[in-house]
Amino acid sequence: MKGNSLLFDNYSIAPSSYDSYDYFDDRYSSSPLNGESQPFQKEYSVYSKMKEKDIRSGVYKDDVGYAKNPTAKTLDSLLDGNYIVDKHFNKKVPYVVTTDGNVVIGDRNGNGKTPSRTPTPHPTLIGGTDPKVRMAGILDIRGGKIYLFDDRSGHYRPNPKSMIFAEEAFAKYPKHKRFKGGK
Amino acid sequence: MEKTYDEKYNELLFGIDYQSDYSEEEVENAASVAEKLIDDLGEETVFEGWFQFLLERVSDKKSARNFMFAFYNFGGQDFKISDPYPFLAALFTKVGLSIENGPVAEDEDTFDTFDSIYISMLSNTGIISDEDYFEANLFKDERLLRAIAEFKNKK
Repeated sequence: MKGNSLLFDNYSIAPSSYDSYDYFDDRYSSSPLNGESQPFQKEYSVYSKMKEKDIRSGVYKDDVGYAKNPTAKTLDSLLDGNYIVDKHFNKKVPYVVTTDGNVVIGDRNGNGKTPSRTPTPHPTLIGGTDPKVRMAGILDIRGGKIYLFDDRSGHYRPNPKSMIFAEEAFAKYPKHKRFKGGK
Repeated sequence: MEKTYDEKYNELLFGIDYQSDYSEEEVENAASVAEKLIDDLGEETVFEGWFQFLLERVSDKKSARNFMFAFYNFGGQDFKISDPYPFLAALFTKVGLSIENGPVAEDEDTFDTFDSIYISMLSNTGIISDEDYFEANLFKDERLLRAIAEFKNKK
């Protein structure tokens, strides 16, 4: 769904040259990186073209940078015994591994669950003018346990080699019986 | 001979009360059955069987929510369905969510799981592009709004 979609009338539409920057395995195909993730780094800043897009759309503001996602929480703070939140917690959420190795998650539309909800991409999980991460992707939680995590973040485009940071960061959290690991 | 979905599995798959202190073994058993069905019949046939169950056998909000949590646990949101809107509309309506307003506090978990199913199914089918993951807003998705209206009109 691209172009002037009614889905996104509260959001600036990126120029066509930015199509497919974000997210899945065939991602970045039309990007200046020509389908590649960023070179391996211990810490990633937001990919510059995505930041430019966020400036145009208002997600990034000159004075504060990325406003922090109000739903952002460390996974540690959500841990309750053998569960993340509780056994009724079932959702997919964006996550980042911070530069000090903590996992932060939050809603993809963290500004509310109403018709006026707005996007809160990966950098908003930390906020500020240069939110750096070791890793970023999507976390699938089923029954309060980690089912799968991946490396899908168009904003950071982490190198697949950085999956090791996610594996380290998620190691201590409860896993689903059918845990698929990092993908 | 074409394999068909046998309704006898529905009670086992969707009979768990996920809103109670359910048994994880019971859920794991159901997930194993679901996995085998998907392997044997394929996603499309299984999805159609589950969708028919939702339409014909799920009549109250609590049962609909149990269906949704089971569907999520079985990975139904990862199916590649060419037009997921009729299913999403039926599910959204039956679990008791409103397109006019956000959920009240006690319904937020239901909303979050629905939203995860919504964004996953639309992504899987290519209905939304990769970069729309964060921007997609179900409250402003005209196709979902139309599908919900059509579903309510049929009832």
